[in-house]
Amino acid sequence: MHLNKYSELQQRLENEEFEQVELGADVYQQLLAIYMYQNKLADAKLLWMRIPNKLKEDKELIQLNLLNVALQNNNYADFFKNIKYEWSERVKAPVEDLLIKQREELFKLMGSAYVSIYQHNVLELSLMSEEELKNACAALNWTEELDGDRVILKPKVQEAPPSRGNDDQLLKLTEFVTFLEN
Amino acid sequence: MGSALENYVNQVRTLSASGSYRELAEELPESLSLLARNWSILDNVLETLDMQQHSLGVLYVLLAKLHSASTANPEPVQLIQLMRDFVQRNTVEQLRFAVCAFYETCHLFTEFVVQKNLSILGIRILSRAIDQIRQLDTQLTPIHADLCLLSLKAKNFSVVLPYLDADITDISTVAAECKTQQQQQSQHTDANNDAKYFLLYYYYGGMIYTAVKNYERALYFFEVCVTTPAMAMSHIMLEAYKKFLMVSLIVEGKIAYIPKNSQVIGRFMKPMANHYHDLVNVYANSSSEELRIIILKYSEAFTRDNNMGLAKQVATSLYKRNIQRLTKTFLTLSLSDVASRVQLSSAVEAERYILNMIKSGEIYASINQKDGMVLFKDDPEKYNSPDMFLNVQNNITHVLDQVRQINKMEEEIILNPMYVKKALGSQDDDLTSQHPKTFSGDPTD
Amino acid sequence: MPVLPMPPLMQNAVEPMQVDAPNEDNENNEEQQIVVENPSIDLEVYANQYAGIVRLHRLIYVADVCPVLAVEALKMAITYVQTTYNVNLYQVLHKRLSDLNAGNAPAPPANAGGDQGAAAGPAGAPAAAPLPDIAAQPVAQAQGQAQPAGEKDAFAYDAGWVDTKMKKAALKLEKLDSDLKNYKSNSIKESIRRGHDDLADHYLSCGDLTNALKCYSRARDYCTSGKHVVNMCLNVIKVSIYLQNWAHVMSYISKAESTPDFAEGSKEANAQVHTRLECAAGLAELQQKKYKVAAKHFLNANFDHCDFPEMISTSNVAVYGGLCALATFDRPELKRLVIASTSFKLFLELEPQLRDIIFKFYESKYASCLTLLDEIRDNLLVDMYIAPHVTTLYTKIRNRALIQYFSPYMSADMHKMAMAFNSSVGDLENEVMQLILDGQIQARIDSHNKILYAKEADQRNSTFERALIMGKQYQRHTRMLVLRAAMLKSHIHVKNVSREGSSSHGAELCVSAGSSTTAQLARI
Repeated sequence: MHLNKYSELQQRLENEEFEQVELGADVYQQLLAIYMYQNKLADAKLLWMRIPNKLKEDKELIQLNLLNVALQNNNYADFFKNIKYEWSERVKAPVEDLLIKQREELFKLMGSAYVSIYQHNVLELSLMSEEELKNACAALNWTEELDGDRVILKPKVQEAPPSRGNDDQLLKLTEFVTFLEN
Repeated sequence: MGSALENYVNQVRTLSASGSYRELAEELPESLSLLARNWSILDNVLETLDMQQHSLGVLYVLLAKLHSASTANPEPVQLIQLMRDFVQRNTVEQLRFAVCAFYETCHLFTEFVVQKNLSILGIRILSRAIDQIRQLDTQLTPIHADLCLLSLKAKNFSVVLPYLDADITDISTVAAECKTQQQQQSQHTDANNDAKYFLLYYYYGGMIYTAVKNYERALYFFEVCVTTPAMAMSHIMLEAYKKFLMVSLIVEGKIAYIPKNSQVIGRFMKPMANHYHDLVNVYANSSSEELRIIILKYSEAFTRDNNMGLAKQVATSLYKRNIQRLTKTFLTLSLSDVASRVQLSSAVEAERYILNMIKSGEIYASINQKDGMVLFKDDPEKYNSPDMFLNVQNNITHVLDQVRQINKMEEEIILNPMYVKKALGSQDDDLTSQHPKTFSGDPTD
Repeated sequence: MPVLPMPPLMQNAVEPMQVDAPNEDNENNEEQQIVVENPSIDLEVYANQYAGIVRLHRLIYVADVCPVLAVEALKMAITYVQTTYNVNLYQVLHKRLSDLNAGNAPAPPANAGGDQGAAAGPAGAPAAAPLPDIAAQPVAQAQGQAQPAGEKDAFAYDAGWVDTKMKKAALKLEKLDSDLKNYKSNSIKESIRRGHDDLADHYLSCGDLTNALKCYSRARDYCTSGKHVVNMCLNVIKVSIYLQNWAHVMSYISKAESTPDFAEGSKEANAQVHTRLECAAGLAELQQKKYKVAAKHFLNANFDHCDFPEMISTSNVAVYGGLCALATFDRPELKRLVIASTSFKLFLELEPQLRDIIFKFYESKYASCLTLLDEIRDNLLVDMYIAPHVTTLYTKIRNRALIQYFSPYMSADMHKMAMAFNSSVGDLENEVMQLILDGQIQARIDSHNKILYAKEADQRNSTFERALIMGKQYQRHTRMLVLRAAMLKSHIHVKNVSREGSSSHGAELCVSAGSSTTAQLARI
């Protein structure tokens, strides 16, 4: 659904890359941000490799690349640290979407991977304030428990939404039935 | 000089107008050197020709321009634009009479663009060229290898991946296309060139798949490259073999099965890939420490072959494989035990590895930080969801399609008169057949 | 060439079977010898079970591996060898004994073997000449040292005996040879055959195994009845065992069994031959590491007819058979063929310890079973035929015990299990992990609580999984096939191209990121 939000813009930018001899930093910035949002990390990595060296001194590009590297290495702490930046108008939208999405991802991952995790670890990873964290946990129905002076969070497993039947299947079923009837 | 060129233009015009393209195609090669010599006025010539009507004529001018590029030093963007216009506006039917010239043009264009560091601009152009000239969606042309090269140089794979994903059922070769035309320079009548472009396509293709981390398909491509019929070893095959070994380790944890149809592998490639075989042997011991040592030992050789990145992937894959072995034997395990069994440096690093693997779906586990334990779970896939049914359904359809295709191919051969003759007329006992495999076994009653 | 038949000595590999404070076999690195510290066998009783070369080989083996008993073993060997014509072996043994007594390290067996190789018999007496000198030296040395007087004298180098024996041997050889020639000229098959046999026996006594084998084999052409053939086979088998040529042994066993007249002759003799063949077969299979087959052979032996001091003793049969069975049989087989077997019971009575071990194993009393096994381990290691296999067999037995222990449980406490198997929990964990990976146990280890949980394989899931994998493989295969067909059709082929002329294939090998590789074609 929202993955398609930027696809038009992405197409346009990609075409420019194929046609223009020299591109400005803005094209690369936008593309990089979009790729990261769409979780196309391989494309993002390749993009960085082909950006001409002189453009790599652009501040915003460097910052975006820090985000890129953090994502490649699953380094949440770095990611949330570096995303606090004055983003230009062009990339603000995808970057903000990226932030929200990554927060969701982080909590989803912790929910599925951890049976219990220390609160301070979560704080380190997500760089949220305690208040924010408490709210987030409450929303997700996580429980808490005390171990000495450290709080332990117990993530609840989120049930995967049941997948609905596929249209393709209905089609096949209809074909089969018609075959049987004839 | 001018008059000679005028003759050229006239020739092109008249023969094109009368539709005698075949004749034209046969005459044109002779004018090539003339055109190349007059590189300075080629643009003028172009003005007098129309791309659509005189595609053949324009093709040869383009070819001459590229041939003379080192002396003429044309403006890159202009030449690229010219090429772009050409592939968009030409009439393919004319080009079919000079396929080899077209291939050659593309090869030279690739060289030119790579040299000027403008590879990315050539990608769309070559893609269009391929689409035009190939007779089937699944036909391989020599231009495919060029496209792969440009993509690798430009580090942009979005255009080339769809081509790579399509399975090849037919190959277009210079040797086949140009036997009717007494052709050009000796370089290109060499059948080895066809083999070269074939090998390059699969070698570059494998590298591209490695770059996007599709290791299984990369392995397939490298295997094709390595098992190509050969009497001598080519360097391409050797490099492909080295990468084959490494990707093999990542995908299967051992050397993947290679059909033993050629001695080239054993005789030539193995002795020249010693370091890589050592790597394979050490990997089999499952000790990450030993692997690290041996990669360090041969790091110079690996770097020279541009395989250092792959080597690091191999090292990571060993950790992952060892962790996966643990999931098969343990229900719970302390993080420090994981670290010591897999030879990671600390429990924290082990936690990080496991977290990453959980995220990418390579294992199913839960970490309990309070006790410092990991709980390994089974694959929750129960094979009873609609998605899975669809998956199975699609697979079945795919397989049936393939079976149908094979049957069709078999029919074609059985009905081929040459085959019938050889299969039944074996009293001669003079079977110097070209395809011993297909014709083996005389069907006696 | 006949080398002193020392079985290959296996280095004592560190196996997971670590019983607490074992009588650890030290690793003597040079020449991979096992050194046995505390065997508790009575050497004399042990040696008296055997006759002929077997006794000598076994005693020498004991001397090799067990420094404690070395002197005694060598002395016994020397005494015994003086009853044969084996002069060479005498000299070798004597030298070793003197070396030992002089405090040197025991001579490596390989050297000893070399001397044996020189054909002492018919070939060249002069070859023996240098030997007395070498032998004389250590004697002089030894005599220079203070030794318990009475004992030493009996084992001084008896040069006189050596000379006499050699002469006698040569004489006898000549006589037998000429007898044989006579028989041959008379063309009486039976005498020729017997002549060959006698000659071979003499060679055997002299220690010349190759010639003995040759002579026995030659007798084949003069056999006139099935019984003779069988006899010949048995002789060949005997010598082949001494030579450790197991393939030979196996082939002659099958020859003997397929002799058409095998069934004739008295039941008594028949059973004897049968048992003898079974024992030989068992021995051969054992050395070839086919433990299960070996066990079955040994179990087929008939106690009452088991009298072959020249090959194997009854207690050997018990031990070899029992151990192999324990290592390879499953429970019903063990019960049927070993415990409930009336014939094998008689064998087991000779080895009460082994009987206890087997019974305890069957009754699942693993701790005591394994402890007992360890107690007899050293004794086993002085037996030349089973020593190389002891570690493997023990590991197998232990693994079987683990599997059997766990089989009735859904979950088992690993602490209890470790106690039952005399090892630490950590070691047990490693062992079990290996068994799980090998697929011998279906279980998962809960390392946190140290519990082992049995796990059922989900058939449905694994079927789906395998089906999908197979589909994928098929698709890949077909893809490759279609591609190959296209390649053949288009004649894609790398040819060997000469350097001059066309642009060499591979000249423009462009590797990404611009590294250049020089292109050179490999020439055939």
